Amino acid sequence: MSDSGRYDEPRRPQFVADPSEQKAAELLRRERERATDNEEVEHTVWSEPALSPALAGSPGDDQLTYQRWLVRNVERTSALRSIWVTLLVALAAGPWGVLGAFAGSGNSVFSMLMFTVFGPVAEEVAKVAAALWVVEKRPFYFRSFGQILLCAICGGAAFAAIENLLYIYAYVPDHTPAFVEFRWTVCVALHVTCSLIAGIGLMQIWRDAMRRLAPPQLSLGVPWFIPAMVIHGLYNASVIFVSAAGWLDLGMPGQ
Amino acid sequence: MIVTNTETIAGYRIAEIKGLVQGNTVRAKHAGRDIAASFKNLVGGELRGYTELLTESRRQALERMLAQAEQLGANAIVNVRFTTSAVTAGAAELYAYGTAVVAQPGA
Repeated sequence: MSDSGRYDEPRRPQFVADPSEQKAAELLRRERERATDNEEVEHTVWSEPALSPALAGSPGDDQLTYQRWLVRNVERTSALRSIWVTLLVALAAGPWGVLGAFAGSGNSVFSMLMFTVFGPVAEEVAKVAAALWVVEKRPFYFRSFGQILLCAICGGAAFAAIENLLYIYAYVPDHTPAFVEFRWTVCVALHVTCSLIAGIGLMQIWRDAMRRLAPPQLSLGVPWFIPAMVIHGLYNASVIFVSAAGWLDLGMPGQ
Repeated sequence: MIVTNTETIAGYRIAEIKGLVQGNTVRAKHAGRDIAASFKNLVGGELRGYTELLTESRRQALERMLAQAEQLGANAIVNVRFTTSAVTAGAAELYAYGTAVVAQPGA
């Protein structure tokens, strides 16, 4: 009650709008302005598996669908650009290979598991990671499956070369000539073969996506990725076994 | 675009159901914000950087859901829900979904 005898309403709290709303709106506006069809196609409703054609109808002529995006970009991508991307992807496997080689090294009991399971899985993924990204996100850059296989083979060879240099000059500085020869023949052949097998998986994913003009299904590559990893792991396990048994003397145990 | 978390819209009737629409995002702040937040954590109070992060994520998920509804030619989304996930640490992960409909005035 005030001095004048009038009832004063209790003071209501002052609600203040969250300033983060304005900042977020501005940030998202800038992001929207920068966004291209390549990002927008990932969120288009027409690729949603839950969409019912009976309810939703068909997309209008001006709407962005995965099929239209893919066809348009295939037409826009020149042969020269496609070759450049292929070469870049083939070369990108090298830096990734370094990471994979580090993941596959170690000198403890745990390294047995690393050598035969985690290492091969990490290395096989690393070798084809760049090509896999292109197949999944920008499949229009490849014009034939030969480019994918080339990327896979180059990836395997580049990876093997970097891993060999690490082994020869960093891990085993007091190596024997037999060890060097083994690395540059057997190990290179193994990495190239495994990458080629994984590359066939990539090729299956790409070919299916281009045939259906639909988002790539990575599961199609799994029947090829797994054998590549298993062959690599079995090879590593075999080298450890035959070295431990004394049947293979290269001046150092293991790969 | 009418967006509501109820199944119906007062004063409107659902003339057409277009289907499920959804938007999701996983966003993170830069490392500087994470470091600043860890210091702020010592003294308490609002972690404004993370408030912004959550706001950005919510708005972006909503915008993507709205964009899908527009693509379907809907003028309303009913039964809107938000949910979160835990894919990676230090990120705000928001998923918004609802049913895109064509609503017309009249009960």
